[in-house]
Amino acid sequence: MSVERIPILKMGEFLLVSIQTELDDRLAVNLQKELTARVAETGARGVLLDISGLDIVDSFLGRMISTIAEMTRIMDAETVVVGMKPAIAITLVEMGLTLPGVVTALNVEKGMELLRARTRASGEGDGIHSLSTYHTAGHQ
Amino acid sequence: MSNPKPAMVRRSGEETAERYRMLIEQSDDLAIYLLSPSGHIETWNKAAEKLKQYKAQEVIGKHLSIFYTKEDQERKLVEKELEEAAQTGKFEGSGWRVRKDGSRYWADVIISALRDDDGKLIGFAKVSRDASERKRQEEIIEQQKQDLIELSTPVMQLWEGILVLPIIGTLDSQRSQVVMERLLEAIVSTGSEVAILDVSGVPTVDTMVAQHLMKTMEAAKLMGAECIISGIRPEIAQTMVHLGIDLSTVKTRSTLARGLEEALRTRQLAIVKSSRGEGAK
Repeated sequence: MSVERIPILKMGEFLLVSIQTELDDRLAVNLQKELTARVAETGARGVLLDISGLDIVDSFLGRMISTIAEMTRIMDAETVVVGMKPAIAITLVEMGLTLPGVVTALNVEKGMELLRARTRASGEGDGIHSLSTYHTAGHQ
Repeated sequence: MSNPKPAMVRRSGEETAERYRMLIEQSDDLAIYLLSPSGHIETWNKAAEKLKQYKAQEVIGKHLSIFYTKEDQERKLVEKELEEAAQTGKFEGSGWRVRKDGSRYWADVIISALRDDDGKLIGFAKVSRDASERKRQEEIIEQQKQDLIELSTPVMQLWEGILVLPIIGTLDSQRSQVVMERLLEAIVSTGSEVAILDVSGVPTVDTMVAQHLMKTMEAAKLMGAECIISGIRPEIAQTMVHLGIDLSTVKTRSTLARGLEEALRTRQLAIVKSSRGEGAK
């Protein structure tokens, strides 16, 4: 299999990483490098890591998810892991990898809501952020 | 006649052998026959004929594998069974076998290795019995067990985004596995963020079950959903703590109603008293 790249999409102040292929070790390491670079470059406030396309997981990948979350967190961009399939969740738990400290959500939509809520909470008192809150509230 | 024991002792070796031969040949229930070291049939008895529908002259000299299903023949099951019998002295097992007319029956089988005084393998003794009826009953029991599991682990959507799983009766490892899978699937299919596991109908738990429940909650959390346990009985509370199960990260509520209240709260919903009735006064 040729080495593909996992696309990293910028959505406003967040980055969306959607893994739609089986992730081999090399691909995962590349993703880690590229994602941290993109976080720094774009100043993203959060990362959505969509793993709904992932059907199998091993301990390496399990740890990789944790490390990505930890890396982006210390770079001030919270990672929300979304779309984990039941089989993957069961496997991770059986391996004892409960990913402490990793924020999760059911799907991209809910993950996005969660990220918005969290960045809003952390940015409280910030004029620009309260304005955007006001804007979305007014828009509804 | 009044004293049969000395009579037995007095019998000649030939007479005893004859009686044994009759015992085996006339046996109506147990198919007993001898195999050569290579697995070819050497003797046959009445029960074997009844069970497998072959007459003695049809099978003597044939290989044992003629009674096995095609799949088992391909898997070289006969060779494996004889190998085990030769190595350990005995093989015991059950499996599907094929009659002459092609129909199948479930057989209980024992193959014993026969060795001469020098320890050289001279053949095998094979005893088998039709256990189809027992197998059928086992299957019914298994089916009913499955049905019971299906019936006893309903996952309901109580509100948009809120699932309830009332667990009633004793949880064993198998059932907790089903609970886990059902719940996780329902979380995905309904897109629910909160699940209430009501255990008020569970009389006891053991370490395995408690760990299973914990795993279920951890797996749900990984998928982005939260679990609330409601209705933990005093005995279970004691067991859980004595077993050293860490419930510090788990939300527990006394009753299903309180669990629901909490679930609604996490979804920023609340049940309020309608003011309509008052307005009509």
